[in-house]
Amino acid sequence: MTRSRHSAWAALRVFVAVFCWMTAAYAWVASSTFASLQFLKPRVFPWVGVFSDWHAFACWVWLAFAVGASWHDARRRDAAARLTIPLLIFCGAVTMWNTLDPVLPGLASGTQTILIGVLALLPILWLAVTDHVVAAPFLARQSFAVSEDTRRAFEDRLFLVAVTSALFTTALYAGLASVGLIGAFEPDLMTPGLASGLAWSLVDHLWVACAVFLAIAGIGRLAQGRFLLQYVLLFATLAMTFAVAFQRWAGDSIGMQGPASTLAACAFGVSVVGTWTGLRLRRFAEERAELGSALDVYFGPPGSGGLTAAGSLPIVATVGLAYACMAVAARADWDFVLLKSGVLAVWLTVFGVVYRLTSGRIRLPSWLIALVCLAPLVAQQTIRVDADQTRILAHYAVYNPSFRLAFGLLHYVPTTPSFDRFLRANTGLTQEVEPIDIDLVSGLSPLPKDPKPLIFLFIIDSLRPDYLGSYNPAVRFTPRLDAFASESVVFRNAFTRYGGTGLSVPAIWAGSAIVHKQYVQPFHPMNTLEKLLDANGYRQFVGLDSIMQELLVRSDRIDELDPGVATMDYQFCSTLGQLESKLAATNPSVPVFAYSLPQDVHMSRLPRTVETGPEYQSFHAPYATKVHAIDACFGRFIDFLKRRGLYERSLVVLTADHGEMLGEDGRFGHSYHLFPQVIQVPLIVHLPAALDRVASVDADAVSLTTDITPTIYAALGYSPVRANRLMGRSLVDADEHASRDRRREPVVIAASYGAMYAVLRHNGRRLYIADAIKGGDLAYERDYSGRWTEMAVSKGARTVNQFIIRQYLDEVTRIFRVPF
Amino acid sequence: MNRTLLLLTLLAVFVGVIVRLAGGSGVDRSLDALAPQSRSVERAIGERRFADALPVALELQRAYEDESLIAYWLATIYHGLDRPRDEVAAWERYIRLSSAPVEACPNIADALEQLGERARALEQYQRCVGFDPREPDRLVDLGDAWEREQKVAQALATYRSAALLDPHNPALARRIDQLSRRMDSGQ
Repeated sequence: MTRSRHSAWAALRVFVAVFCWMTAAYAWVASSTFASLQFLKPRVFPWVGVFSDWHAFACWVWLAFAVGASWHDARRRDAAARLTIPLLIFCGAVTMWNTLDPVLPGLASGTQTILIGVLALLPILWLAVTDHVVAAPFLARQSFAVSEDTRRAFEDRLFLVAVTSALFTTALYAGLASVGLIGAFEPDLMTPGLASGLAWSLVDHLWVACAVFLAIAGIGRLAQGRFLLQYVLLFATLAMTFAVAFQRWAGDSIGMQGPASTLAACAFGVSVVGTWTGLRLRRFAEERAELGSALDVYFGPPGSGGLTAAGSLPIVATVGLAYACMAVAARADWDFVLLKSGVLAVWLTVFGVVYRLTSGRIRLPSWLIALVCLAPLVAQQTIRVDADQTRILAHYAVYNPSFRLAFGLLHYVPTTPSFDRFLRANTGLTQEVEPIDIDLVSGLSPLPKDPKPLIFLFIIDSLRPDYLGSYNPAVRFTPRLDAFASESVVFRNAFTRYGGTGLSVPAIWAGSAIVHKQYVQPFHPMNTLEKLLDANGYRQFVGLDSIMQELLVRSDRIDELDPGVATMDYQFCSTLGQLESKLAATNPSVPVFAYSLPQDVHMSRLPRTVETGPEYQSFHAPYATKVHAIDACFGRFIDFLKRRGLYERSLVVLTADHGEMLGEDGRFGHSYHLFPQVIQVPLIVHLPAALDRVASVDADAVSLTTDITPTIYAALGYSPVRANRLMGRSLVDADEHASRDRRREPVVIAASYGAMYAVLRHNGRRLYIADAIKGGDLAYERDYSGRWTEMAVSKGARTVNQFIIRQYLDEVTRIFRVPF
Repeated sequence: MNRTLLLLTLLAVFVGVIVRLAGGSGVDRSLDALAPQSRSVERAIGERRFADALPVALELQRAYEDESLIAYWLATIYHGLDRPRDEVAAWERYIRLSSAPVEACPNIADALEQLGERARALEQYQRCVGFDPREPDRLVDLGDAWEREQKVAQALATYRSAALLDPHNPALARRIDQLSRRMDSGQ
């Protein structure tokens, strides 16, 4: 095969592999209940939905590519053909089956779907086996460092490569961090902070490099001159590295656990390394290359040793790759998966480039190797990083992703692994859970008084309170919302019960914290708000998004808002326009309830570029622009209610299901973590005039999104009863005792999509966060100005907060009769 | 220097550090809060079956004398069983053992109030403020205690300190207003 034909063949093989990896990735995302319901079903990223829609068709293209890539092997008269022909038959059968019954659109969450993902990797693994069978004679011909002298030469070169790679990576990312810091307000990262970050970055990169050197050198010594053994051990080590990275960065984040997840991680690791080595081996075999070590299979044999203009191109390309990975991850990422994967790719690329540029002529004394290896180890083990330094390094890691990865690897300590396991076991339940009856009023009967108030419940997905003028005086772009707030009660200390839509919205409708499962079916016995509306004959204008479809019983009383509109395309202005039309056509004596979950400020719907005016300065402009747009529409809707004389008898609740990270510590979004910015929400309640005149409220005590439904009950004249600590309580007509309880009782908050729990205490001034996905915990303290500061977690505080979380989960288990 | 020996030694050192990193810091090893016995105590507390929880908690305390969590459990249990003297002793033990003694506040002082030992209770409220000077609730508790002692000036000063840390507390503002008026009227 000529070089150009080999390149074309390799391109076909890469396409085949990428399609398999995408199919597997889709299946693994679908295997997670929350990811399926919250990302795939509402099509948060439309191209993912398109991939699923067209997968059956694309599968034929993939088959054609697979045939093209395997044609040469199929025509051989050897073992390769005996492997290739069944593979092609298998691929053809799978494609046919997928056409008749498309697999991806029908995937349900669970272990079976994880295994389907593993199955999707089978063709790549099969191809990799074929490659190795074809290249077996070539591999058998190679020899590695038979004498002690050549072995030492290999180790000296390897050591030099590892250390140079660490130095280069440190310098590269330090440069990129400096670029990122231009224009950023980072008082912690002045010269001393940067120097500290750079020093620790160097220590940690050297640490990783020395560990890699020792692992490969150890494998070399173990192989004792046997090339094949060295190759197999290196293959296994690399595959395991990729598998662990997959499990830690992707699997854990979407709740993939257990043997099936381990199998998926291993299949992924082997498929990546198998494809990589398969392509390289075939080429080397055809070129009849002589390899000096198994490492040459991965990175190629060394060059001449000098740095030429052409040889420097890969270095420039590596810089470009590092920058591109950071730029892509800044646009859309999930718990830094892309960022970390990009860094890993850069590390491997740098190592490969340096490996090829380094000759084996340099000899190093053993004492020097020992000294350099021990230096970062001693530094890491002996230099104590205090709380201030940790904060500075955490800030530096925001701008230096390579340091973030290395620091995470070396300074991560799972504090309480058994507690983490306990949290994971109580999160994202997959077993059947029977619904229980949740009632805020026993024997709920309709209210005698007429006309009943109109109820409007607007939950703006991901709206942060500090982007509203009524919460933050620096905001100048929400005049209409501020005017509405001035006529309403602004609960200044409001928090969501769940850091994600998937459980936050059901909990709001239930008026209670609920079992961590998406979803208990039927939901109706737990749906206290629906019961209230049904009992009082409310006509319901409801946006039936992907969650509401799971929660509501379809009835004639429900009139859908935004029919035919995909959940992620719900726009507040459009919804309010429809609502006005429906209200105009409704008999004013009919009690009306309206609900919507607009997606205008959801991270996936923010504009890429915006006009940045002075009013958006110090705010995240794409987000602020959308809040500004919402403000105008909401103002027009309030004007409409006033014009029609409905405003005075309306209960209008404006809130959010959760907040959002808008770049704090380099984080965006809300799904996979709990931070103060994610759990704080706005809660503005306009009470009907008759109630507003007499209601007493403590607007500065902690209020929760699960308090909304009990408050609606109270606003209608009921006396909601809080039967247990999971249930919400009315925020109006609170006596001093209730107010004191709200200010002093600890509240447990959970992430919707993973095992992360928070304890909010001291009227929302202290926050403890237990992260059972990554292990570890955090603590924050809020001063009276609203500013959150990260604090060190003492063992004593950890003990008590974890006890509170265990008590909460025990109560959930008891009340919801969760079978274990 | 023997290169093989050197590499193996360095490798062993690195592996040792990695194992230590992966194995955790061991802070939770003294008492497994998720062992069956511990869980039975916590479940009983959650279900308010304090009499059932007590013997198991006491047994665990004998086995793990330095464990602050058991002292915390016992204080909660004694509170549920309405045994304030034992509760105070358990809180004292908790304060001695824990690096977060403020978690005993204000319960320890409340239990002393229940026993009628108001002077000791006042001392504990003051001690609680010292445990966590940035927490306004502890100052409010102390202010309440001063007020119960008819020490209006001290109460007012303490409430004012609390208001500096929690300026959006209407109940506190009302209390300051009432006390200020009492002071002005010379009562």
